[in-house]
Amino acid sequence: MRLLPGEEDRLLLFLAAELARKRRARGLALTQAEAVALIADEVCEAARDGRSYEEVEALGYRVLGERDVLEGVADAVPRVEVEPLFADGHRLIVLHDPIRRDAPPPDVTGQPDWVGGDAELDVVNESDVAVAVTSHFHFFEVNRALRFDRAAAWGLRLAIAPGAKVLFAPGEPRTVRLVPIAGARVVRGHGGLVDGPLDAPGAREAALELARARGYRGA
Amino acid sequence: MPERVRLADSDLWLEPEGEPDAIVPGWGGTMRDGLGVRAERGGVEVAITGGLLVDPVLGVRYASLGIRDGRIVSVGRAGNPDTMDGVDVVLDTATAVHDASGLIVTPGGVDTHVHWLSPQVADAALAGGLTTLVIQDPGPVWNLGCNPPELLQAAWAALDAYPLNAALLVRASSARPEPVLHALRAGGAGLKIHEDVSAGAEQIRCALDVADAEDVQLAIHTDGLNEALFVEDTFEAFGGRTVHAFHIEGCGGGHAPDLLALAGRERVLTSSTNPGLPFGAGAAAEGRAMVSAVHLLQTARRGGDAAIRDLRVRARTMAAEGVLHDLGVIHMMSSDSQGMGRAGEVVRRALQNADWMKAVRGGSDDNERVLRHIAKVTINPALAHGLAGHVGALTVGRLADAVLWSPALVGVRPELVLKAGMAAWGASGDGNASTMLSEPVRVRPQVGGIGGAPARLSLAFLARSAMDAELPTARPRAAVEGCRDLTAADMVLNTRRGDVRVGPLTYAVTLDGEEVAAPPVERLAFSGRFLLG
Repeated sequence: MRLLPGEEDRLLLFLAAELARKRRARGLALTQAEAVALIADEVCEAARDGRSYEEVEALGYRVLGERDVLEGVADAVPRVEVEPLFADGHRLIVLHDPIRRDAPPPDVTGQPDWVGGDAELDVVNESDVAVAVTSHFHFFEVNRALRFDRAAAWGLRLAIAPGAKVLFAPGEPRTVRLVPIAGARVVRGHGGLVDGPLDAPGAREAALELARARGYRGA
Repeated sequence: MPERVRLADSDLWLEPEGEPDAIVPGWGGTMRDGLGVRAERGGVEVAITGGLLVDPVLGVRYASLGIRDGRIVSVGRAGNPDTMDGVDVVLDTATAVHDASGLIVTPGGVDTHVHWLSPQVADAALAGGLTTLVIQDPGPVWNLGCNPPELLQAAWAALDAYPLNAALLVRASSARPEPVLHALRAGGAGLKIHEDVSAGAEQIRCALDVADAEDVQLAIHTDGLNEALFVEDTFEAFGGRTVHAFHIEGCGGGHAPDLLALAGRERVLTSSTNPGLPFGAGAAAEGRAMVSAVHLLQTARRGGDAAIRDLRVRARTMAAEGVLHDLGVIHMMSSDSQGMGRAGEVVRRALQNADWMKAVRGGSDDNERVLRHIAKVTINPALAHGLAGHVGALTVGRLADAVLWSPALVGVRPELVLKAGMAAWGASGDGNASTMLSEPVRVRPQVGGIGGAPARLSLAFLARSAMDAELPTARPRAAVEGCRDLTAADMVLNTRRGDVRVGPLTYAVTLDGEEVAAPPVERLAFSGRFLLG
């Protein structure tokens, strides 16, 4: 057969799933390992049967429900990843909370919540592509196509949870809330307008001048 | 993370102090140059961020760990002090980060009772969250110690394949010091007396003389036959000197039926082996089979074998052991791997005992109970064998040997075992896949666990007099120290003293006159709801 390591892995998964199937046939609720193996194996076989990516993903959520597994198991299976071989090659299937859920979780739409932040600023993206700004970026020096009162954003960042993003769609005005950058207030990198202490004398004016020279809107 | 964190399927609920760190890896996260990480150096080499520490010294609290040269250099909030307040663990643009968000972080476990009878013990130990082994019997071999020097040398050469700190106990069942010293100085780190190779008063006194002179610990499996000594004679032979008494309940071996009477005393550091913890419905029956198999009894062919087996396996002392642990009278838990215990279940059994004791004895301070039990498999065994300057807790100065667990699988399957801050063992899947965790995901060696990495990341613990021994190991060396002045008062979160007695005929156990007992557990947490078998 000249089996490759990935095929050996497939056999291991199959063996664990077969054990799970036999135990299930005896009326047993499944353990964490049995549940993961059975879900992943069923997903792989559905792809082998020629089903589409979407069909296989949907099936992954229907393999097991909470009553098929032992107490505590659903908590221990927050995610299953497996790569079945489809007609167009290996494809990654990711199932989120597949024992409790019947379908993939819906995406969070809309903008993140504000977390504090006294300073409000009106912003508009004057480019023709979307711009996303993250929680800890020095707002003063975000993409030059965003028009807002740059001077008012000095030393501030978005008042959103760490890692969250605010999306500025082209031409769509948006009011944001900002909080001060903390710590020693030294900004390195970011948009390249500061590269130093925020509170040094003349730093803001020098950065504004640079911003104007580089075409930052609202500077 | 929720306010309270449930440990797997148990009834143990941790109430953490503090808040998780907000260092976010990934696309658009905060872990970027000049944002959450400092643009100039000045940060740590490696960090473990965002995790919930469950540490016998640091407590149950959210904190990140900073690591340099494999050792912990800072504990607290992680981030960039240029842009964030209150940063204890400075991250810079070169820092390697292990994101422990949503995970529990414990110190790597320390198992002081490892018969390394087959190399697979090391795999089981790593997969069970252990990072330090105190070893006897590198084999297969019938040895009960790591003598002689030729075997010590082979053991050190082999150990370099494993990301585990190691200390080797040499056989001290000798009435003369020369054989003991010969082996110890060839690469040992402590002594072991075992009744299967003699545990009489002369051997005990001689071994303790060596232990005192060399500042190493003596681990002892006492005279279970009472052939030459009663338990009080053994105690007298100690002469007020500190020892580490193995499998103190006695099923693992030692004075029958009353070895347990040595628990609660000032200078007897006590440990249990794990099949009996907590006392389970099948523990006594299994114990009889196990004693015969491991100790080469021929109960169907040889007179007396069945009788000594039955004296050794006692449901009532077994039932008392877990309670004495919960009370902090017994200090440590270990495996006795392949010599009547399970290398991969040291941490798990500690948590299982905590859970069962909550069910039996009640109490609401789960933090304290969990920490007491974690101390038994981390800091206390490290202290007992002179390793605690380097391992046993996640405090500044110690090795960054840590285990990351998903709360839902804590004690069952680790996500990642870090050795000196490097990923040594952990969960990963199909190597061809587009992600690291594509099924079948297995717990297995990672980069710190292959090639030349394990030896670089692991210590060779040695007696001071063996520090310059010629050894076939690339490991850095560390001298064991501080073994001889230890008392029960040094055993972290397990300092209860008391008068433990065992009824000579009934085997009933009392502590300061009060009966100590618990029913057998029928169904354990941290086990059958997760494992394949």
